[in-house]
Amino acid sequence: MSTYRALSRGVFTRRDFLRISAAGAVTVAVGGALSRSVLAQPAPAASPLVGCTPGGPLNLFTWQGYDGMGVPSMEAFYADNDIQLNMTPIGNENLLVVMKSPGGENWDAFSVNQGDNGYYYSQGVLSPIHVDEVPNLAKMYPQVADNPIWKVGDGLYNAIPWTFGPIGINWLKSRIPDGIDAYAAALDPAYRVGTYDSSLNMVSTAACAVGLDPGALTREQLNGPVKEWLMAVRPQLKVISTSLGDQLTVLLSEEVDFQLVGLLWFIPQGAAQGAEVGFSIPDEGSYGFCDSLAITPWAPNRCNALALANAYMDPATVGPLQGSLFQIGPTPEINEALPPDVRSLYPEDIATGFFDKLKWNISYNDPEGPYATIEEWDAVWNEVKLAG
Amino acid sequence: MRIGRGLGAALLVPLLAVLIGFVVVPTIVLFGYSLYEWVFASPKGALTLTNYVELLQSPITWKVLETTLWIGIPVAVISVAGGYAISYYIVFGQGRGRQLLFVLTVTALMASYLVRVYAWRTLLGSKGVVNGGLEAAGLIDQPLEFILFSRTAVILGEVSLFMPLAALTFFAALSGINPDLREASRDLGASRFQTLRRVTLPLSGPAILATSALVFFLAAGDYLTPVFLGGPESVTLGRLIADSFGTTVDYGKGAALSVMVLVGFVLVYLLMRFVMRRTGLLPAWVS
Repeated sequence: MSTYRALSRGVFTRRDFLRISAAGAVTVAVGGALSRSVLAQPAPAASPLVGCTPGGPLNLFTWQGYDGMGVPSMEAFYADNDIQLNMTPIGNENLLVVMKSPGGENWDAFSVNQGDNGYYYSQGVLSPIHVDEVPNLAKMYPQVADNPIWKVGDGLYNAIPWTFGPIGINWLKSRIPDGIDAYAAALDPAYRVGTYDSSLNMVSTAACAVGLDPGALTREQLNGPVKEWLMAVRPQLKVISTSLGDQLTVLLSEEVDFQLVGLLWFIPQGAAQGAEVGFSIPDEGSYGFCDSLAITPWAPNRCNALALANAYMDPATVGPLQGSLFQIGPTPEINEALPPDVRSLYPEDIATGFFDKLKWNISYNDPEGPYATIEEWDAVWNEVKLAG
Repeated sequence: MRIGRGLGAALLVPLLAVLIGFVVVPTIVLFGYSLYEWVFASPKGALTLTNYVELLQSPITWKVLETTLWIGIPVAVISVAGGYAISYYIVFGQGRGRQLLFVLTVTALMASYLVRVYAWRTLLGSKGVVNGGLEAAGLIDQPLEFILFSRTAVILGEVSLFMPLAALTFFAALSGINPDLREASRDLGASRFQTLRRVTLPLSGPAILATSALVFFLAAGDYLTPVFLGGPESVTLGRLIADSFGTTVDYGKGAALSVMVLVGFVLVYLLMRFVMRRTGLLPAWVS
């Protein structure tokens, strides 16, 4: 006899269940519908320029390694100032989501990319920092000190642009001894290409490859030569990684011949796994990145954040940290303090050979403005990925 | 024992609380999100259907839907068929292989999801086990590139994840079938296939419907497997939703896409139920 029998009447039926649950759902839904925004909206606090004594917690949301733990000079800085660092590494999440989510009001400082500085500042999540608070800002290269990406007033900056690096191409030296020195190699069907899944970086790469400025890309340029170049690269794109770590893994396992959106940082990471990774800034030119230390307007420990800002601008303290990251700083003094093996990777004259040569991408958000917005960049990149 | 209304309601309260708190309310909030345009992670303006209109008009949405179905349907069909076959052998087969197969099926589910997905990279990579073996056997000169970072790899990975799950679900259903029914069918002259088609399958029809729906929803909504094993052409709805919430911070679009996927899944379930009823695989009393 089958064990499947129809339910007999008189017991708790499906209709009863639906009736009760619907009543409960309606009740909760009314309450839910009344709430327009679920995300916390911390109110910016006043941030007067006053002297203060550091000490206590520092809540920092930044890239792994940027905190400087494991670098003796940075650890000494934290110890000498009695700062207890609470650092959360950035993963794949959008910074904005973290900063505006419940708990975001606890963050003192975070890392922001140069593409977002302007927009974040206009939206009130970056508090301006005066040169009186961080004196070494006055020693920055003019290309940085006067750049509106960071400068928002006389002696006033929206963040501390403390670390810079170039974006280029990475390859395994054991696989490609002669290296890859041009973006044009990505158009060659003989190569298997990997890259990072980022419209910001891929559109910037394409812009540089076709001789355009990713910091001033019009819609016609985006939907014209930039998209054409990306579509031409598409057949060679084998792996699109969603993290820098995965990019490195895919490169070291030889699933691809080279990686676009490459970093000098891959060199020490590859060496740690016994692999020799090469890096080049392509012949067509490329773009750079700058990760700034941004202090939130509502920082509960602003003094400690300012202390870190000053540490990031102090050659003796930050030089070894920059060396560990294979990146450079915004002042000549900081770059003179770099370890020789890292310094040798950069041009002798950093002002002209790096800051003048590299371009900088910016995320635009005004659909009425002259430049394509980041949403339009996303649409083009999605279209490229789905082609074929 | 007969369960009265009062006791029945009391027993259901904990489940109701979980369903309302963790399913119904979030779904309503999500729907609310989808009715606004979002700027800088904040809703702006009045209620609007703009997100739905833009998504429906975007060719990217339809392309991603096509990719999702190209992955979800084969995974569901293979996992359900394979899982049914495995559990059929475990329940009705003969010999010691049944126990071993059961242990292997359960063991497959014990490993971490992420580890199992990553294991496929080791198996299918250019220098992986499969390519290495084929090259060593002289069957190929160059590694087979298409078996990793491709739709094929995503389907393989998801089948390996969901087939054991399907098998265990069917094991429970098939174990509940009275063997006398199958024996009676054979005694009356039905072949093995006829017994399967007219006795076993209909009796396990509700389980087939539920498992098929479950596997399809899991496969179509999967995010990590396409990310780790898929190539550029393996962008699925799950990934598009994740990008909306995480990368572009367009909560409205992400929520609208989520609601549309939810509605789509309901329609798929209804379609499956209709087809199974028409083919006699599902009794009329099953909702």
